[in-house]
Amino acid sequence: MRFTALTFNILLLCASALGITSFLNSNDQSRFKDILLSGLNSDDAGSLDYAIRGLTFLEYDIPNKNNLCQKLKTKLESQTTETLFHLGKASASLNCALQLSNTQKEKLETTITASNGVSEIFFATGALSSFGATLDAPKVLKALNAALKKDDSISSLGQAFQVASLLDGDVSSVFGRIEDVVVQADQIDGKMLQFEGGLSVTALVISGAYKLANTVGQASFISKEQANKFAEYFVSRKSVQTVKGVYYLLEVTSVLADNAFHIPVAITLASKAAVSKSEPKFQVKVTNILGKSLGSVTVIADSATRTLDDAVVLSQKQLTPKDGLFELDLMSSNPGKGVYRVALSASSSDDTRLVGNVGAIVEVKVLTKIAIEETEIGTADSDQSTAAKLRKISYPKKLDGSLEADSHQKLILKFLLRDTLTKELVTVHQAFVRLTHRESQQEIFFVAEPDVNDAYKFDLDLATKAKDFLYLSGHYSMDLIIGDAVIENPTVWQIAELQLSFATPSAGQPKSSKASEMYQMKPEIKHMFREPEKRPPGIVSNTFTLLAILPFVIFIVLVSRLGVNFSSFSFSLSALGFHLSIGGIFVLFVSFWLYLNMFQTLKLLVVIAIPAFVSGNYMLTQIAAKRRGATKQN
Amino acid sequence: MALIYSFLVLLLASYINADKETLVLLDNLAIRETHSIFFKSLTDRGFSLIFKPVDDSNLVLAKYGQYLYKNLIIFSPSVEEFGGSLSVEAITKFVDDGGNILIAGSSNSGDVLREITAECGFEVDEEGATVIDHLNYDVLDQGKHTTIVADTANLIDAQMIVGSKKTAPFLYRGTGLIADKENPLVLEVLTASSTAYSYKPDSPIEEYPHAVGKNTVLIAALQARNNARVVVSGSLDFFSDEFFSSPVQKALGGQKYPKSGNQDLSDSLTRWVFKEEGVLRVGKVSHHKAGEKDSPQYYTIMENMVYEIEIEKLEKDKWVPFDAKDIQLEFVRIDPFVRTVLTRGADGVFRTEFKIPDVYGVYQLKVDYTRVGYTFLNSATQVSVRPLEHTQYERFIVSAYPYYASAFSMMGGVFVFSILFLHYRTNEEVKKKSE
Repeated sequence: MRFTALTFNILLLCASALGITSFLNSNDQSRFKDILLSGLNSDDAGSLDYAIRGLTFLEYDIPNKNNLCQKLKTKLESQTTETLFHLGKASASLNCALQLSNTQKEKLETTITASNGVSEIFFATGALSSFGATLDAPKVLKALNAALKKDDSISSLGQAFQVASLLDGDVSSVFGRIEDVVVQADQIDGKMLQFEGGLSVTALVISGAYKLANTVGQASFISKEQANKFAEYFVSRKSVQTVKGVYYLLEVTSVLADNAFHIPVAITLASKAAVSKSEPKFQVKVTNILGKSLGSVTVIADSATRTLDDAVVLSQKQLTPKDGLFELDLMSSNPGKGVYRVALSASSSDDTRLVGNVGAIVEVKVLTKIAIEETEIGTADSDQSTAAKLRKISYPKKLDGSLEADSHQKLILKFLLRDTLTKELVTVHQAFVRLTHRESQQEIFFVAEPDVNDAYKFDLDLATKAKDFLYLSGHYSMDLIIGDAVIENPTVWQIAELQLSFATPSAGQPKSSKASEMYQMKPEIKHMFREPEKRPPGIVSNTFTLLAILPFVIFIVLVSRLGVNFSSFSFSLSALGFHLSIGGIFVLFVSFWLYLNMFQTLKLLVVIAIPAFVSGNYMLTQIAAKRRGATKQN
Repeated sequence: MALIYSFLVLLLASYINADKETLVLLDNLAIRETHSIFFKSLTDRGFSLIFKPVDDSNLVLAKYGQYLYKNLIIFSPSVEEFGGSLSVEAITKFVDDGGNILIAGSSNSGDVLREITAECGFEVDEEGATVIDHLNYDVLDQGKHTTIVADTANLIDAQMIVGSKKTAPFLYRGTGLIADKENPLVLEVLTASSTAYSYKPDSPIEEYPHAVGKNTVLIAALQARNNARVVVSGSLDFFSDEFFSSPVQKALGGQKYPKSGNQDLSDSLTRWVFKEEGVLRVGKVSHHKAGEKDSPQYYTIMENMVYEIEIEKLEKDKWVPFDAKDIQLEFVRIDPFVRTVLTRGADGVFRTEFKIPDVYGVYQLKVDYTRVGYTFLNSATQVSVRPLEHTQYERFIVSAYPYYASAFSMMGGVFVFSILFLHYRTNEEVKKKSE
């Protein structure tokens, strides 16, 4: 039994490449509608056409059809084939009844020659057919084949398929090229196929291929698997923003949603990807690429496998239809907690076109609630000289008072986690102990590890771990964080308040990194000016000033008392000159003290000193001569 | 001829709007479509984006010694080796030469990406590690609690980088970053909440996770000393159309926001990293003595000096006067002697007046404005300060009056005495004469 389940599993895994993982849901479609409606305001024939045809795919009732028809009509004089193509397609969608003149028709018909290239042929045939003209199939086909010989790029071939799908008669020559093109597709991650050139080219080729296959009435050379990979690529492109891109996406998805050969099926979760005791069922939706129901299908869960250990919990169980969805009670088969891969197959008794309907994988989590039990907290001596003192505490209470520990002690926390469903002890992904320093809000985390019996124990040696705390003693609060992807009640439990004291480190305090300091304002600096030296009081200096002047005063007084005279003063030029220049020198010195600088003083001193010297010399000679004369007389 | 022409075109292309030239490296071109809103917002703001697969064999950053791009976006988490002439060294040199980079990683980041970020001061967690938060995951999470909701409270307090608008929380799915705490140039723009950690979601925790709690950096930024900017996000999905337009709600109860804050934050981040925001430059700098207009050749100690500086900010491609209250001027001779705040006048010029210290020497007037989010602003002007001339000292010192008095009385004495001595007539001579 085990063996068969395993082989079945392998088969499913091989097939799991099939199946598209999502579809264009109503949100996407309303977003497309908004993009397309904005395109209606465009003046460009191409954008208008893409917007109108895109909205037709969405079955949206286009407002102001008459105005749009008028707008299209004004552009009818255009001569380019491409514009006429867009006008024709748009007016056909709107039922505008625009008509081409005969000259225009003839011109279009003459365009269909090999020398004009595939895209001109594509536009011309498209324009002619949408304006209601009949196409000369053999002629078009001949031109097309000749043009393809010159240029068989992927986009040309895509256009060729579109042209050929319009033609009656034998188009097998073009139909045969589909195989060549499909092999040129690039694979992305092994899940998608696309052509170089992106969405528009890929959409053109695929929609062309299916339309052509429809015309020929024969399945095209696209395998089921390829069809699915292309479909996967298209749904992955649903974020497209341009009017043209939206149109191409809608065109190709509408082809993939309804054709005679392949209809990719999307089996997707319609409910939350999690089941639990209170919500034991999950629901899936089986739709085509546009999110439409596929009619009567039966959905079977082939298997449900736990990803962790590949345990299979159910096989071949039918899902019950409910309001267009299908639901399965996963909890009825008593799965443990974990993530399960559920392989689903949808089959229809009357529809063989479905692809990707077998082995679609949805991931469903089985959630459980966790109870934290037998929690004990306390301290013990690091050297284990005394038994640990542990206190019991139950979730969600907080320990009364605060727990103190110093650098010779260990902090110990023990707890058990029990699955409330199965009553078994379990381990979780996240079992962290968080210590938050009250003042600095610095957080330190430790991982609590389970032992072989799945009992959690956490011990913290304050001496060896002090470095992690940056030796920051003080008030800490201790929280236990329990979390896992498969538990319903992740918990942060504040267990206790701690008072930790660490020994100061031997090699100096590690510098607490304050990297952000460079981004802050620096403290202001004011320069401290030197204090002027203390001076003696004014009265002292004034007294001494008087004392200094006193000799001069006494001198003057004595001179006047003695009756000294200047009677021998001769008013000669030299005498006057000498005394004036001596006086001048003193005045100069005073000025030097007051405001002159040394260079000015020296210059002026030279100017005064020369006459002083000359006149002094002359005057003294005179005086000496006079004295000599006087003694001679005696 | 054609060669010259193409060369000219190339030259022109490299000069015209060179600040907006951006090279986008992608794992595959599909990212261009899955992140179309992000790229569209950049092109709308005038950036010219050049998309290249990361293994393109013709990748070049510089041609003829001239960089072809000012900005680089690396949206290729799984890159194993760059194509063309691109390498970790080339990218490091690009940053050294002032280029800006936006990097997005994922849970499967390749070694090359790890090396680049390590050069910038961040570490990307090991391959497979994803940021997990069992308490703050989004309702649309795929089941492993890796689509986490990051609160706006965990953003860095720097309007320049993250914008001023209060936004909805952010969606994040990717790996954690570890920032170098010792490196002051590394900024933790967005961190995870305290209950988050970065580890492989499918394997039980056997070693201590590299990033736990608020140390788990989600988005980190670096402004190098040369003002080159680098932003690293551990999540490429952060910039995706899916996350831009997705609603946000914490699965374990919480307010529902119709649209995530990702687009607003990504807008602000790209504005900052590509130097549209927070760019400062120094305009005219002048200084003069108080009460004068022109700057003198030198100053004398204890004079009052007025310093003026114009600082401009780049705003929507225009330079406008900057406004701040925390710009400081330093008057430095080896050590700063004066540090004072510059106040902005009505004319938009920052100005201050201060008294020059009583120490002479060659000084620098330095403005060094370093704030989170702004380019580093540096201005230094040299001035010489000389001591007092002898005529500038105090002249009438009361304590020195005795000296003055003695000197001047001596001069007076000499003057009077010289006249008396040379010209007096003794009584005998007077008598003789009268006889």
